[in-house]
Amino acid sequence: MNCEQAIERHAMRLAGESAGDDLELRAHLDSCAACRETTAAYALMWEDLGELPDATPGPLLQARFDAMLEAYRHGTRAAQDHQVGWGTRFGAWLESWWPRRPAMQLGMSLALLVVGVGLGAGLQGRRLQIDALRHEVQSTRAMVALSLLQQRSPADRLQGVAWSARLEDSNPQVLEALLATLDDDPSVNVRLAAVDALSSMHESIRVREGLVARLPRQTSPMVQIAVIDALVQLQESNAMDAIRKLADDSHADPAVRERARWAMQKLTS
Amino acid sequence: VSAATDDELMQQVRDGDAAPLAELFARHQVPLYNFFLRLTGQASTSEDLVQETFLRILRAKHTYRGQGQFKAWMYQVARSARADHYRKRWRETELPEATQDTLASQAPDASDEIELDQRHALVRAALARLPVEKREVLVLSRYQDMRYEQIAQVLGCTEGTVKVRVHRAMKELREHYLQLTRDKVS
Repeated sequence: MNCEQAIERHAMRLAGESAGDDLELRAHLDSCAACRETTAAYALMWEDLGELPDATPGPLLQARFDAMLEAYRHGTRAAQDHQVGWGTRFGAWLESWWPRRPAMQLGMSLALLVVGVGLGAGLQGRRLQIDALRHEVQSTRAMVALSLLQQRSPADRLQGVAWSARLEDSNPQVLEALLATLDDDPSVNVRLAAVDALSSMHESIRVREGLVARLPRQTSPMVQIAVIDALVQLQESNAMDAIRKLADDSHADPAVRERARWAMQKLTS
Repeated sequence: VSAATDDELMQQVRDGDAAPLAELFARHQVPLYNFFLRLTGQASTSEDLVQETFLRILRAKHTYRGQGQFKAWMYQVARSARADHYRKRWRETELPEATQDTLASQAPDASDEIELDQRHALVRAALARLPVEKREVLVLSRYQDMRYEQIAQVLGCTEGTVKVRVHRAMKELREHYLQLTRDKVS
């Protein structure tokens, strides 16, 4: 055993399972002062590494987890209720098609088996599985977001908006919920967060139309400015009329009117 | 507090009862948070990633095969959550410079009473300087209390590869440690 091998074996024993005494390593260390020094330094460093204290996560992490779990359970219950109703209706529909004569039933069963095997073989692609998993994660996020948006606490609704913004593809239900939040939510902070989340879904025409339609309805100057900024960011030229009205509105907050004039310049340049 | 093992709790979750996930969260949130914190250096990102990991556990519950491998499976999910997080944001996975500076600035001052603190500060700074893949294998080995076999499962490689990676990581950690010591002395 040379020095390099000795140090390597010592390091691996430190980090792994020390199964018994390594006589060869011990013999080398007994005869090599340099390796004794190096391995002792490694051991000390490993010990120091282990003594670094763990940090504690903030209390909000537990609260967020609880909200997520509750939202998930709530969503699952709602989905199960929906499935029962749908299942009953589907069963009745299926029964109306099912033949009464045993021979016909056998024929129908064989036909369904052939169709089922064909479909099953076609669906055995890894890509499909990954897509399905991704879809499931996305749908869970959407479900959690929707549940949180309906909570009474503004902090929970803010969490709901944050979850919405993390969806990879804009979900129509979530999008409508965000627009409704912008319309009705009593908290300015939640409405501001909703504007941010909506502007991240810039590819949706519904978002652009929704923001344009909602600009005149806003009463908070901060939200008005946030919507104007979002429309400029989206380069939404259809917003020009709504923005011009705000710029000309003598009752509007001066800062909002100023921002509206700035937005008009941006959208025409 | 439940006496059930992680594996038993996860099997209940897999079978449709989401409640035992709360116990799994209670048991693993701190180690998982520190796993992310040691890799990212960012507290809020680490909290987000813990949350994301447990959401993914819930969604991927039907893929859990049991056999007492919950911890390795959870860290596989955690790694995937972290990789997606950074892929989405196009950020480097190195610790922020500010964190490294702060850590390095805590290093020596020649007094015996604080010698241990100095060594800890140095080793923490040296760890922060490692590339993320080397830091990860050390963190799994030193802090998550995992055996080579489990780490291999998490990283999707052989036990032999893990041993080589651990050795290389320790070697580089030692080099950074010595360099930091020299910098402070000079």
